[in-house]
Amino acid sequence: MTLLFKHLSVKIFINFSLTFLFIWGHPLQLAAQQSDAYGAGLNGSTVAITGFWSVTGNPAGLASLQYTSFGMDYSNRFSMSQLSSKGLSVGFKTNLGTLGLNMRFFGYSAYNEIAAGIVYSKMLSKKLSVGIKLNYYRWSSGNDYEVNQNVSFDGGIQYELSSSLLVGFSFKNPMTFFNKKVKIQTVSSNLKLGLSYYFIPELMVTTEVEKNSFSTILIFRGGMEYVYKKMFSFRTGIGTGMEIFSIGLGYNIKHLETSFAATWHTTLGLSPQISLSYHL
Amino acid sequence: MFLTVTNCYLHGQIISDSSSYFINNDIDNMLEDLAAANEGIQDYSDLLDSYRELLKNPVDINQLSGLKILLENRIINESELFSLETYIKQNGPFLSKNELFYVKGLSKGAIERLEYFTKIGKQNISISRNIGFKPIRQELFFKGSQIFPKRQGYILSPNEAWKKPGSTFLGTPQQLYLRYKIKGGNNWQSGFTVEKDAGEVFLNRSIGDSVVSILGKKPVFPDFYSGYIFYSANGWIKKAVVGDFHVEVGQGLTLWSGLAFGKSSQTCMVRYFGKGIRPNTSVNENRFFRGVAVTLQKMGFQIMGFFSRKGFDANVIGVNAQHNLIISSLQQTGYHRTINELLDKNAVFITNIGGSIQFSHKNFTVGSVYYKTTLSAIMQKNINPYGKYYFSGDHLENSGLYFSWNINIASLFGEISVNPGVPGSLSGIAGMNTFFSPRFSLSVLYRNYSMKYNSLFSSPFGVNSRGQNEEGIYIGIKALLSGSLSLAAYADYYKFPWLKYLSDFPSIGRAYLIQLDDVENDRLSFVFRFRYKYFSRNIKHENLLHVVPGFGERYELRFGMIKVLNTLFILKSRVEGVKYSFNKKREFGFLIYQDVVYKKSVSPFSSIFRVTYFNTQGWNSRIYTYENDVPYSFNIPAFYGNGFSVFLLSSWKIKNGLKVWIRGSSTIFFDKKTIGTGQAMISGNKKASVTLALKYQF
Repeated sequence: MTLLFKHLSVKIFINFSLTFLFIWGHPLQLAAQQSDAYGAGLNGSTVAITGFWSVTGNPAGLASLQYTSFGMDYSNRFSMSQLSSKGLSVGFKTNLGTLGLNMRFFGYSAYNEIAAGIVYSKMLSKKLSVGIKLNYYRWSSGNDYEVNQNVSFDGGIQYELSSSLLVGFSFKNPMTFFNKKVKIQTVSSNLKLGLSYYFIPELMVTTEVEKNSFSTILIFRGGMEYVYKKMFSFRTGIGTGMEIFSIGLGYNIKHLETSFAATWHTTLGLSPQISLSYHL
Repeated sequence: MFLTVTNCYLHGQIISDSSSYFINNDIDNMLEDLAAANEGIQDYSDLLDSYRELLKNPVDINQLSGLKILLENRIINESELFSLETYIKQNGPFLSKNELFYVKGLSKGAIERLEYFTKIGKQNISISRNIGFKPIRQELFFKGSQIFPKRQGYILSPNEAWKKPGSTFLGTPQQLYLRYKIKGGNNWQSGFTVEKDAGEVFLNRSIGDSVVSILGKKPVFPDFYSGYIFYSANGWIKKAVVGDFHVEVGQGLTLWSGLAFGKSSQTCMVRYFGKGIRPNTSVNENRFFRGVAVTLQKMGFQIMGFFSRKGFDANVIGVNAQHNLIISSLQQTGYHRTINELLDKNAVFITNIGGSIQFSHKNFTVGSVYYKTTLSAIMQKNINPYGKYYFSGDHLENSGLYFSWNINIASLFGEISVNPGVPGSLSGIAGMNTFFSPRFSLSVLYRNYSMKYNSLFSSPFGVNSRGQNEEGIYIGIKALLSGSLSLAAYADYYKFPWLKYLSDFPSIGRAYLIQLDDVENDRLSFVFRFRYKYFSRNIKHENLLHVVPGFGERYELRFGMIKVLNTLFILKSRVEGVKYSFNKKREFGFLIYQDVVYKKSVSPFSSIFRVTYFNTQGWNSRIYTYENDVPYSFNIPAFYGNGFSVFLLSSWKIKNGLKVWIRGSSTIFFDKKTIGTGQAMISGNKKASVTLALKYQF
C-alpha cells in the first residue's frame, strides 16, 4: 500500500506538472497567498504539516484539528509598510469533517489584493486525510484600472507512513474560473510533495519539493521545529528558491499560540511575520 | 612549496587492522573539501600532525578535557560530545569502548574515530608527569623527493639565470625536509624544521657572480627554517612559546593565524575552537608569528600577550620620496627558486604586538582581543575597483569581542571585530550548534564581514579567504536515519556587497551538499554525495570594453565504496562526475580510482596502491582527490585533462622507533604534450615522482 501510494503520488505530481502548469501566459504570484508565521518559520515547507495553520497550506492537514481555533497573522514584506498583509482564519470540527475559513488582505490604496478561502477536510482513515479549498482572489491597481477576480480551488492529501513519518501532496489553483477582464493574467499554481518526520516528539523535520507556474525549476525546501517544554518553539528552514532562509520562534501559553518568523529573500532582504492563534 | 609537496599521512599509523581504514574516509573527505574550497592553498599538515599525536596518545574518554581536545581537532562535533557527556552522566564512566555502541547519537563513523583517538584511563603521557624535564620522546624525521623529468626552469644553468630572472631555478630539483621534535614530560616541547623546496638552492657553489651581483648575496641552504620552545601546564602560566607560533582566538575573525576552516562534509563543524597559542610546525613559510607569546590564567581569567617580528615575501615595486619601500602585495607561495622570487624574499618585516583577555564561568566564555600590525614597508593602494577597500599603508589595528555559551541542548558563539579608526569596518559572525535529538544536529551560522574590514591574520568561516566583503548564512544538518545510514547536508547562501576579483559587480552565490553514508558493517561502507555551487563572475565581451555579469554552476556527484576483503586487503573505490557551466559554455569531468591496501596485522610492512583514471574537459571541471603520502606531507592534487595516474606507498617498520616510507607516483596525460606552464612546465606527457622518508624515534 505504501509503495503504491508513493508511485501514485509521483505519477499525479508529474501529470499535473505537465498538464496544468504553464498553460497560462503570465501567472501572478499573489502576495495574499503567502503562508502564516508558523509556516514561514519553516520557510514554507508545510505540505506534510498538520494542524490549524494548514488552513493556509495543505488543506488535508486541517483534518486532524482537535479544537475550534481562531487565528490572525500579519506580515511586512521586506520591512515595507505598503507591502504588509493581514489575515484572519478559523477552523472548527463538524460531524462531517473539519471546516476552515481564511481571508487575507494585502497592499495599500494604490494596489491591493484580497484572498479568501473555505476549506473542507476529512480523515478518510486513521492514516489518510484529504482536503479541498475553494478560493476567491481579487486584485486591483488603484482607481485607474479594472478590478481582477479569479475563483479557483486547492486540494491535498496526507498519508501517515508510520507514527513518525507523514507524506503530503497538494496542488494550488490548477485552473481558475470567472476570470474577469484580464484573462491572460491569473493566479499562479503550484504542486507540492513532501515529508515530515519526528526524530523525537519534540523535534520535527520537514522537506518538500515544489513545481510552480512562474518558475521553470523545481524548488526544494527544508524546515525544522523544536518544541521545548511544550511552551517554546524554535523553527528554521531553507529553500532553493528566492526565499532562502527563515527563522521562527513560537510561544504557547495555555490556549494561545504566538509565532514570529523572519524570512530572508536572496536579494530583497528580511520579511518579518507574526501569527496568533487561540483554540477553545 | 606546500601547495603540491606537503602531504598528510595517517595510514602508516592506523592501518593496523582492517576496520581502521574507515577512519581515513571521514578525514580524507573533510580535507578534500577544505582543499577544494581554498584552492589548495592551505597546509593542513599541522592538523594531521595533531591527529598523529592523538593516535599515539589517545585521550581519556571519561575526561571532558580530553574530549574537548578531540573537538578542537575536529575529530568529533559538539553534538557527539554532548551524546558522550549525556551517556557518562546517565551510566557512569565508560568501562570499555564497546559501550560506544550504546551511546545514542553516534554514527558508526564517529564510533570508529573514537575507538582510535580515545582510551579508558589517562593519556600515556600524563603518567610521566613526574619525569619533569627528562625527555620522554624525541623524533627525527627526514624526507626527500623529486619530480621527473626536470621542469623548464632547470634548462638554463644558475650562472645564466640573469637572462631569465623570473623563470630560471637556481637550485636543485630535490625537495628536502628535516624535522626534529623533543617532548619533555607533559609540559615541554621543542622542535625545529628545515626545508628546501624543489628548485631552491642546496649547495650554492654553482651560483656565480652575475647572480650574486643582482641578489647582493649568495642564497643559502636551508631556504626555510622554523623552531620553537613551547611550555604548557595547568598552573598560572598556561602556555608560553619562544620561536615560531600561531595564535588562534575566538571565531577567527580578529586573530587566527592558523588554518582556515570552511564548508566540508562535516556539516556541523562550523564553530571554531581556538587553541590560543600553539607552536608552528607547518612549512607554510609566511603565515605564522615569530617571537614570544605567553598565556596566564587565574580565577577563570586568561590573559594572553604576544610579540612577533618576521620577514614576509612581498612584491616590491619601488621606493618613495621618503626612502620607504613600496610593496603591492604579500606573497603566499614560499617559493624562492628564481632570482625574482629571491628578491622578494623577506622584503618586508611585519611586527605584531597584541593580546587578549578572556573570562570563563561554567559554560560561558567572553573575551576581548587586540593587536597592532606594523609593516616595514608601505602597502600601495590597490588601483583596481575591486581592491578599493583592501589594506594599504604601513600599519593596521584589529580589535574584537568574542563569546561562546554552551546551554543544555545548544551552543551559541560569535565574534565582532573592527579596525579601530576605520568607519564602517564593523564585522561580525554568530552561530548556533544545536543537538535537539541525539539523532539530529543542526548548525546555523550568519556572517557579515564589512568591505572595509581588513586583517592580515584572520581566517573566519566564509567563502572569501580575506574575511572581508561577505554576508552569508549557512545551515548544516547531520541526521542518523538508521543504525547504518547517516545524512549530512548543508546550504550556504552568500553575497559580496562590493566588487571582488573577477566580479566587477556586487555578486551572490550559493552552495548545497547532501551526503549519505551507509556503513553496513565493519567490512563494507558506501558513500553517496551531491554537491552544487552557484557563482557569478565577469563575462568578457569581445566587442565591448566593459564586462557584464555572468552566472555559472558546478554540479558534483560522487559514489564511493570501501570493502574489507580479508585480513590482508582492503579495497576502496570512487567514481566522481562534475558538470560545470558558465556563460553557455559547459564542461564535464569524470574520475574513477581504485585503492588496494595491504597490511598484515603483525607484519612491519604495509602498502597502498592506487590507480586513477580522469577525463575532464578543462580546468573548470577539475576534481580534487586526496592521495596518501609520507608523514608531514599533504597531497590533494586537482586532476584535469585526460589521463591515468598511479601511486604506490609502502612503509616498513625496521625496528621499534625506526620506520621508512617510499612512495612512487606517475601520471600520463593523453591530451597533452607538455604538463604545467611557465618555469614549472614539463616537456612530454608523463611525469613521475619519488619520495623517500625516514623517521627515528628515541
